[in-house]
Amino acid sequence: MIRFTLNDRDYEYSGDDDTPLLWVLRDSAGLTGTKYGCGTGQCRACTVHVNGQARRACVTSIKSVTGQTVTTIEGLSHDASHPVQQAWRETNVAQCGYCQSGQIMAVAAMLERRPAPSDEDIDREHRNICRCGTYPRIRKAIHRAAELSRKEPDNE
Amino acid sequence: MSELNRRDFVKLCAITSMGLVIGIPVPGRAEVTEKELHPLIRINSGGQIIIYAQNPDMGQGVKTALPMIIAEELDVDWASVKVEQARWDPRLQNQFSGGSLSVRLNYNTMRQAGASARAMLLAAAADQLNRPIQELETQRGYVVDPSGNRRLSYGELAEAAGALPVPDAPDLKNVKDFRLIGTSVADVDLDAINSGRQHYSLDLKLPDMLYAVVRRCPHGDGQPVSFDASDARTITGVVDFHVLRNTDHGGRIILPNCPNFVSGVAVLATSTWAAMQGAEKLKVEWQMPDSRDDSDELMHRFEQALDAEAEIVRQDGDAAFGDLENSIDLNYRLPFLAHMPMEPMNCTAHVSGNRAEVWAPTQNPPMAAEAVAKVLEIPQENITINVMRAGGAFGRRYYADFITDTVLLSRQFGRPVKTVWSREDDVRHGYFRPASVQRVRAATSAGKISHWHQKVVSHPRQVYLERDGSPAEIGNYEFPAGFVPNLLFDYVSVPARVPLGQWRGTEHSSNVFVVSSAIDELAHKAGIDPVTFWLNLVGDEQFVQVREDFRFDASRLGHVIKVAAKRARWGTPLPSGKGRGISVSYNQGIWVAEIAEVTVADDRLKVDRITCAIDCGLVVNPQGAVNQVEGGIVDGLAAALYGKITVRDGIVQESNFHDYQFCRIDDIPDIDVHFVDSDDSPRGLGEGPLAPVAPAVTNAIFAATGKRVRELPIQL
Repeated sequence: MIRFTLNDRDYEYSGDDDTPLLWVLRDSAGLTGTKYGCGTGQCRACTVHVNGQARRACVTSIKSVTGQTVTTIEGLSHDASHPVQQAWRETNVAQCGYCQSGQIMAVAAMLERRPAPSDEDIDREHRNICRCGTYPRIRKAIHRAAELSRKEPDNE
Repeated sequence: MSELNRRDFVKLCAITSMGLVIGIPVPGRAEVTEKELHPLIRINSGGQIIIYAQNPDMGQGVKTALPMIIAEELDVDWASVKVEQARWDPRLQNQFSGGSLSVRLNYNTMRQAGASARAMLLAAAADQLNRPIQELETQRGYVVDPSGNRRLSYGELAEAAGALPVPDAPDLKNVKDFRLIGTSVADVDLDAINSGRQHYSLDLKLPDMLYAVVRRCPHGDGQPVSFDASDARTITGVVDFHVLRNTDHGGRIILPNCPNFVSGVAVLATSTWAAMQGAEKLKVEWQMPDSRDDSDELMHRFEQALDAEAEIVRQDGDAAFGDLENSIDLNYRLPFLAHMPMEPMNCTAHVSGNRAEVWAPTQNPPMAAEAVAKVLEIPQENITINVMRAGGAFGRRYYADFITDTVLLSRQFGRPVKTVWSREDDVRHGYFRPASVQRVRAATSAGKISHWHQKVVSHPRQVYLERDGSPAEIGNYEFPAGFVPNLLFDYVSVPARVPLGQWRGTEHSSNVFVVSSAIDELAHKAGIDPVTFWLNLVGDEQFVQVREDFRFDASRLGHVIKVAAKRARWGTPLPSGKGRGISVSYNQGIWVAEIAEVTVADDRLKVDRITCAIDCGLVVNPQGAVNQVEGGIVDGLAAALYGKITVRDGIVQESNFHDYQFCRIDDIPDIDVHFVDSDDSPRGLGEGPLAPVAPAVTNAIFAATGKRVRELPIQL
């Protein structure tokens, strides 16, 4: 039995402990906002937070999160009010939308580390693939989210 | 069951209980009276307007744009509209997304849908108010009698209006009176996407559902001979196995231009991960076909076929070449390209008796219904196709190969089945943009192109078997036909067993590269600035009769060239190592000019900026349109920089994003998109902006370095 905290609740998983976190989230916990895109950690559509750090759920075994705190897009905020989600809305980032949970989670974690990223920081650190090519708006929205986060210093 | 799980379960049960009756959109809840005024419009007694998005949305924005057109003519506030995705409905026309046609083909139909319902509401109000219909007007969800200051809401009128006949030719608004069309509207699913709550097909979970992963034959035409499941059975959650042979169900191609599933062995399990592991552990003996193509060898055969007898597509004047001044004779090479939509291929189906319900991210619901009917041998009336928002598609989801195996599995096991493709399955079993070799021999005289001979050697794109007789790879109307006095387009077909299909602007994605590259070479050969050369070629006449039935508005092409040149500051000096290149196209019915600005340093390419001027007629949703153009440009850039599928011994070698790369954010230039004002009816934007990217970039590389790139993907 693997126990961890999932979006502020205790969660128990009794299946194979090598199962990737991605499939536990999607098939067992019913949290389908975390997406499968490549299964090999390249596209980052499956990005979640483990103890606040961005992690690729498709290459993270469920046993490795024992006792840890996992946050998915569903737990980032209750009402899409996180500054990154607000910025994503204002900037109309999404097209098909499939990769955007992962994009948002990756950016939320990046802004915790780096509250005001430069374009060069973004180029180096934000490596999620968007197959629709929403990158110009992702860049704008990252800067906007940084601005919104500075205005709301208490936001978690 | 967690709270979230329970909610999802309830939601999904609600989806399944929609029933199997064809053509009746979602029934309203018992407590609300809801009336259908048109297959795409329902109004409930509370005044809520439900508009169905007719065509599948895969990120191109038609789930927002098509209902906007209806809402405009219906005369309702967008805020009062709830948009739902229409299921497959044989009463609807053009219910597919492809060829940049969703808005273009349906603009008038959507206007008429909204206008018809409005006319019915007016007629119902005339009856209830006892007033002549001509004296009534509509105002944002109400019918108003200006003389008596009385008004009735659409909600109050819906029941009576729905009982009236649908008018044939309702009055349409004057375009000048549009209030909604032409304003920027957020995608209707934006909030659901940003909160992770948007349901894609891959997210579905039905009660009692099995997960299937199919171990497919590496060669699309092979068959399983036997399999050993002893290792696969050790995986917890693996339930059963089933051999799927397309030869038992209509063969490899089941409908014109529609492949069936690839044969293999399905692993059924209680979770995706168990099914994936089971499929990996399965040992299968395959029978491979004799014919096993190799992409490098095919390229060689294409080049040899440049000297073979060709089928003439179009011939004007005398395209025979002697020794002409300022002539070129060049070959261009273009690779096979994959789609790789972000959401891997998948489908969920529930077959019960002689009825089937399908949930699929399909681009082509009518083809899905036809294919399901064919493999299950049941009437189409017994089939429901729920069209799911697709996580990208790019032409890959036009076919039904990812649906036919799922319905067979559901029938076999008597339970709902969701088939999930791994990314590796998705890449290896794609239907690729045809590769080609093209030769251009051309010459200029007095600053204009006098001769143009373009020979295309490729496969027919029709999935891959026999040609249908028409060389689809170069149309007889394509630029520069009509602009060059001596012109020859011809074509040599080289058959191959590589699965081919629609891509984003299938043949145009190749041809525009060839045409814009060769024109740039001619301009330099003649010592004329490329923008000036293009403008000379387009000429001063407004209309050019390209074909008997196709009068081309050349002035719109000239205009986008001028706009792009101005916005890109064409002609202003650049530092050494930088250059600009132009490309121009008219394909999928829109006029596009793109200018790339690049830096080449130490043999490394950086695309700094792409300027795009575009005339697509009226822009329905400007914000969505910009997204679509930016996305097309990024897709074009990704193909130019990275796109190439390699086939060895009939088997696709690439498998995932590490060996079939796509742009990441550091590849992305500044992109400037400018729409030319137009009241002309709207055209589609999905494909037109993509094709010009590669030649704009390669022409800019020449301007920066003097080096010509005539093969994609770009290698410096």
